[in-house]
Amino acid sequence: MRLLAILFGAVLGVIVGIASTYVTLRDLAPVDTIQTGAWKGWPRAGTPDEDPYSRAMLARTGELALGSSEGLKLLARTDDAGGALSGRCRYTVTGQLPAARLWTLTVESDQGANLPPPSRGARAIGSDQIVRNADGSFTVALAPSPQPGNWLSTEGSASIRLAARLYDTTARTVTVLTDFSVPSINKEACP
Amino acid sequence: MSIADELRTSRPFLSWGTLGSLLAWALGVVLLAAAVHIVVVFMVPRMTTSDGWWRIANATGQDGFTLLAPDGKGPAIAGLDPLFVHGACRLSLTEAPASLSFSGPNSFWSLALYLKRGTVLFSVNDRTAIEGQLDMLVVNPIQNTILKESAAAELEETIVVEAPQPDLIALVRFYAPTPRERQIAAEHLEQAECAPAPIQPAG
Repeated sequence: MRLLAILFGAVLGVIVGIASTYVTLRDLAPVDTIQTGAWKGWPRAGTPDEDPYSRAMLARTGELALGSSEGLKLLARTDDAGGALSGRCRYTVTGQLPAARLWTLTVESDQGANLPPPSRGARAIGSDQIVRNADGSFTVALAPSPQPGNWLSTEGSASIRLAARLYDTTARTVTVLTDFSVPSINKEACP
Repeated sequence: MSIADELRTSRPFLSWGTLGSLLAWALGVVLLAAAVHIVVVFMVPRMTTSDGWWRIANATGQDGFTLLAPDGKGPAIAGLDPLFVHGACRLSLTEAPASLSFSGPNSFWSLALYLKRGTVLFSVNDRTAIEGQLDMLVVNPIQNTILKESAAAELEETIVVEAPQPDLIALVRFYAPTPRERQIAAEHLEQAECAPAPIQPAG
């Protein structure tokens, strides 16, 4: 009876250990992030100081982090209200990104895969292609159907996330997010 | 005997002794689970052969840069910016240093050297390049010593990077948002050099 209890405990412990690792690594690494609004970044990804969760997650997804002279990737999976981004809804992304020589804004699947090219429009836009507002900020619409102004197509995918890649940026060295400006993501309409 | 009497005299379902061993058992399970969790988190990057480093290493040669197609075409490398043209080359320093040389297009570009498990050893962008031209020599510590002794004059404008491991990949990213720029970037990539470069003995 005692031996049985120990055996059962050992098996249970291993199962719980593996399951909890799987659950943690399935999602974006929750540790060592910089976060503001709906946006998250991992400035130490790919460096020797990287935390083991981020490293394990990058190993699992097959992603290679940007180098320190290259840039920083920020991800948003929710709107500012906290709801998961859906490809069926219409969002406006408006504001400014941290200072960078170049940035790109990309709609990808919620797991980070590139989506197939849409029938109209584009999935990604660069800072040199974007039409800016009078005050230097920008507004981008995310929607499955064409929108006036800057527009990224979310056609054909239910769960999406938004990736902002900042190239040649000082944002990597920012640890306190006080001067870290990110665009707001607001849901406009959902069918 | 009434039911109340029976309840009073019967042993409680859980005595303090069994409760204690149950708690010890639960603590053991939790500790074991935590240990397994930590071990697995550290093992994943060491065990995998399908991380970004290996995917690129398996898709590229040691001679020249290989154009990495976006997801779905060719080797699927996750997380690459769709507005960029990417090229990769595998470096092996066991025989000789590796020489990288290319001129980038006029827009933004960057290069990163990745060690196994995806740690960035060195990265550089177009601002560091001299007139858009980048020359780099990747050496191991022994080659670096020999190189310093030979002190070749043509190394003046070359970035020398010392690598702690013999196996690396170089990944270049050219910003190319339009089809025309993609074509130009691909041409630059085709002419880019990435090859073993034996050190010339000091003459």
